[in-house]
Amino acid sequence: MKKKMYAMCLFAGITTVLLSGCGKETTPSTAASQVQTVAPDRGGEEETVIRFGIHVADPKAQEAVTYEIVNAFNEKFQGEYRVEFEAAEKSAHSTNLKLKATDGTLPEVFWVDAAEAPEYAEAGVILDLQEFLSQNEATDKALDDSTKAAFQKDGMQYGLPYQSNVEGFFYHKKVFADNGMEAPVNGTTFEEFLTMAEALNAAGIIPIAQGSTDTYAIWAFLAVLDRYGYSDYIDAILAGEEKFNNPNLVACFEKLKQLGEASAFPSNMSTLSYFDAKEQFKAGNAALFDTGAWDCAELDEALGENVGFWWGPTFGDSTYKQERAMKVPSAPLCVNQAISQNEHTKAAVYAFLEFYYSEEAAQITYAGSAFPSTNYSGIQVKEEQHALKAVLAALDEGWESPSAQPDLVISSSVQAQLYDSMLGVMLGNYEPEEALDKIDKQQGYAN
Amino acid sequence: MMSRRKRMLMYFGMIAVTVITVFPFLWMIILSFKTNSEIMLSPLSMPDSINFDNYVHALDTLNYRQLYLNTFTICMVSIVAELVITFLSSFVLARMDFGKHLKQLIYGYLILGLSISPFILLFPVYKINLLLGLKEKYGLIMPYIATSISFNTLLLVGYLKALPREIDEAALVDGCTLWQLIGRVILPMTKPVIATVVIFNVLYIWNEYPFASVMLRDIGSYTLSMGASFFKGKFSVDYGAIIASSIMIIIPELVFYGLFQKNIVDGMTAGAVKG
Amino acid sequence: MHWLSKKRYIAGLLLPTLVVYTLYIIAPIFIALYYSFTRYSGIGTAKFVGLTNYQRLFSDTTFWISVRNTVIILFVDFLLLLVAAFLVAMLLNNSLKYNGLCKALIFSPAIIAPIIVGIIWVYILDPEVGVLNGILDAIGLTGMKQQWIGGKTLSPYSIAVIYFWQQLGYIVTIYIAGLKMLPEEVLEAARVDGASPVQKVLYIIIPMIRTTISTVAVLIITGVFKIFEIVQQTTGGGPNHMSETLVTYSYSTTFTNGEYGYGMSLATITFVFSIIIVGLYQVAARRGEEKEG
Repeated sequence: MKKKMYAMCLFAGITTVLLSGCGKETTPSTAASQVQTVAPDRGGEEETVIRFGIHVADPKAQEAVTYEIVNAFNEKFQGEYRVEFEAAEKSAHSTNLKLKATDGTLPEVFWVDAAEAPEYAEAGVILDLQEFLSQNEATDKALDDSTKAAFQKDGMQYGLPYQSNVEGFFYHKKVFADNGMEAPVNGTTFEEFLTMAEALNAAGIIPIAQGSTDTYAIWAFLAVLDRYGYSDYIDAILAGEEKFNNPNLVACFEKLKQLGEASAFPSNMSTLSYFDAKEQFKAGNAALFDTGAWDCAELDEALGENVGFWWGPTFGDSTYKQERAMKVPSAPLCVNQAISQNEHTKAAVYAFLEFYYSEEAAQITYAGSAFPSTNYSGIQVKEEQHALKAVLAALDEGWESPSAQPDLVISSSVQAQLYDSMLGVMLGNYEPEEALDKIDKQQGYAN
Repeated sequence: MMSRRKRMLMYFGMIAVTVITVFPFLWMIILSFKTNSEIMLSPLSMPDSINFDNYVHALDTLNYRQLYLNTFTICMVSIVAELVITFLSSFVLARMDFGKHLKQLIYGYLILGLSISPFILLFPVYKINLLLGLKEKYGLIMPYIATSISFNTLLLVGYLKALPREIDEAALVDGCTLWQLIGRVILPMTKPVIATVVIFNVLYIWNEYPFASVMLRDIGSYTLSMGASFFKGKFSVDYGAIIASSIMIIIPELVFYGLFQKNIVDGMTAGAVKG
Repeated sequence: MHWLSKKRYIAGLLLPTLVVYTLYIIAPIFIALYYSFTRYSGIGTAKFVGLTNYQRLFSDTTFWISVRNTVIILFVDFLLLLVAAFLVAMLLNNSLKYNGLCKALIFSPAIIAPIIVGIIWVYILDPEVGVLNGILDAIGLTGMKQQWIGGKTLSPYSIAVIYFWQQLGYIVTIYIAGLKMLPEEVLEAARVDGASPVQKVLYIIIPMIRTTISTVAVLIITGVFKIFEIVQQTTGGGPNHMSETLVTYSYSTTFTNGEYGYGMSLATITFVFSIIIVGLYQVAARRGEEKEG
């Protein structure tokens, strides 16, 4: 009977509606898939919500400084604006962002990998922040030209840095002391470090806590690239005039290989993650840890005054300047282009950005032992901020940094290959020239 | 009959295979009571004490209720929809009359899907959903229905074909309409196979990960398997919590299996052996 | 029987299934094919590049590594599941007391989420934290400790074993169903004729469950091409892409690396590859049948 047929269909339909009514509704996008949508305009009567897409799964625990800043903002603008996190671990976050860009659900503000940000700019889904900067002179002044230049392309300010990255090796003072060894200092050569590694291994200590499953976690070795002149010739490489497989980088990768052969890394490095390596270091099983200043607070908690900071070894066979530090703009925050459709959202986002780059936020950042991207002076550092003090001491030695982090100036597929190649050489899976050839190959595809 | 020795050997073999197979589960349970440092540093040891810390911690961090609800919702909707359409289409293919070659063609066409790996479909299906404006849950239900079509057709057509023709003839003589035949007569007789199809597809959707990972953006709409993948971020090195979480996710599945075991086994043999 | 052949009904009832199927199973294959001829970063527009992706594929070492790994897994699992599962099925095809319980337990890995299967086996195979190396240490076989996962060579074998564990019960069940259909008289006759157990198996049982074996073989082949979460959880395809399979490589190229065009060309090749293997097997099986008949 037709009735039964209709009954079944009706049942299916009702079930669908009822059960899906339990969850959150999302509005379908229009057929023009590049059109972005934002949180609906509530006419300024209720709170305007800003979604902040962040690259960690648990902002409270893993990006405490940003969490604090957001809380402070929400308190200050309670009733008017509110920022909510859309949190996911880094690789999931990056994949999600791409998919969201196509289906029109990009968050209002989001952290995005520096190598991918230009792609978003090209696709026209993010906002030119030039207007914001011209409307907010104070913010404009608080950001150095070089900081802003990192995220400018064809006259468009497509993003502003999330933080300032200061990267290198943290070391465990007590581990060195307990084994009657001297800790490395800024100026320690590569050969001297190899000797240290040997001694550490003999004492049953892992020299460098390093994982490889989070391929991007090779920050401390970026300065090593720099000490072989990377920043000098990278532009030529990108223009196709030179190759990654050049004598300087070969010599550089040779050193990485030697580190691997000297057992400077954990024996199960191929299955360790960045977080695993951090735990190893915190537990005192490793002497050094490859990371950046964002881990200061956590290291303070675990190591207290036993934490030191080192820019990494210097190399006698390089013709380039060895006193190179790594304090560079981090990945950018970008803004969803669609906020300009909605007055209230736009005002909210501008207010948030202003707060994010304010002196108040800078103070919060230092208090959390991280480095803001702004240039406010007069840092107040507390006694307990041992790790931060160690980093500041290293910065005080006056070593110059490149204008940008080496892995952030290349496209995302080349960046992935750079990580793969560096780790491959460290793990002993690739020969230096082979590894560099792979990067060249990838660069060829990207052109 | 079997000699005593042979019987002992067989028992031994059976138990050995079973124990080895079940060992990983047992090991996970033991691990779930160890602390993180115990897990990392002394892999072989027994836990110091039976504490439920890991479970408590896991419960605190992931919203299991939400995960279960999401998974259940998507499951129900997909299954109802796919049953309706595949049952009807299988009935047509099995019992209605039209060109024999055309029938074979359509049947073969629908069965092709069995050999298609879902991975080639991931990104294109995403694009299609985008075109149709389907997002999140809605976008996930459609591919689930689609991927079930081949298997359901295989099973249903096989079964429906075997039902005697006299039923149709008798119904005709009684003056039934097509719908009455389908709904009142054939459907009740197909219950066993439908049960099998339902159970099979429930298990598939429950455990499905690739499509979910592509279609679901919003954490609030994650399914169980997505929740498990979330471990890396949320728990990072909290091995104990990861393990406890995993156990909490598989226990309902095992219970479900325990209850419907016979149907699952029967159904698979019906489809596999006949096919 | 007039309404049983009424075209309107036939079309109407077939339509929903055909539409959904075509839209979500068949059309995507062509869409993937389309994208395999483009370069697409995931946002913006796709740029048509002709056969570049396929040319790149053939000179891509990682691609060949993933082919090698996939073949290893296919080979090992084909052997294990076809043969070992058969033996286990013979073992369990009896009416001993705890038979049902054993069968149920052996089947259980097949029903838990593959992603959890991966997680579970990390704690068994990890060189440092896993229980396998721990046991080897404890029983004095430290020399046999290996990098079961995360090393350069053993990963695909480990993956194959994990998949075997997961599917064993399923395949055993199918075999048992096939075995149960064997007519008792034939087996009885064989015993009376004085055939040894081995002869019985080789010359009587195996030929008679030909269709079952055929089904199992196809299931194994198509199943291996669906292995994904296991690899992702245990090795992530690493280190340095050394444990990638065709499936994981195409997924990571597409969604993690943002090279959608290349990823789709990988997916297309994988698809063709799997169809060829199934096809080859069907041909071989049919030839075998023709010889018999």
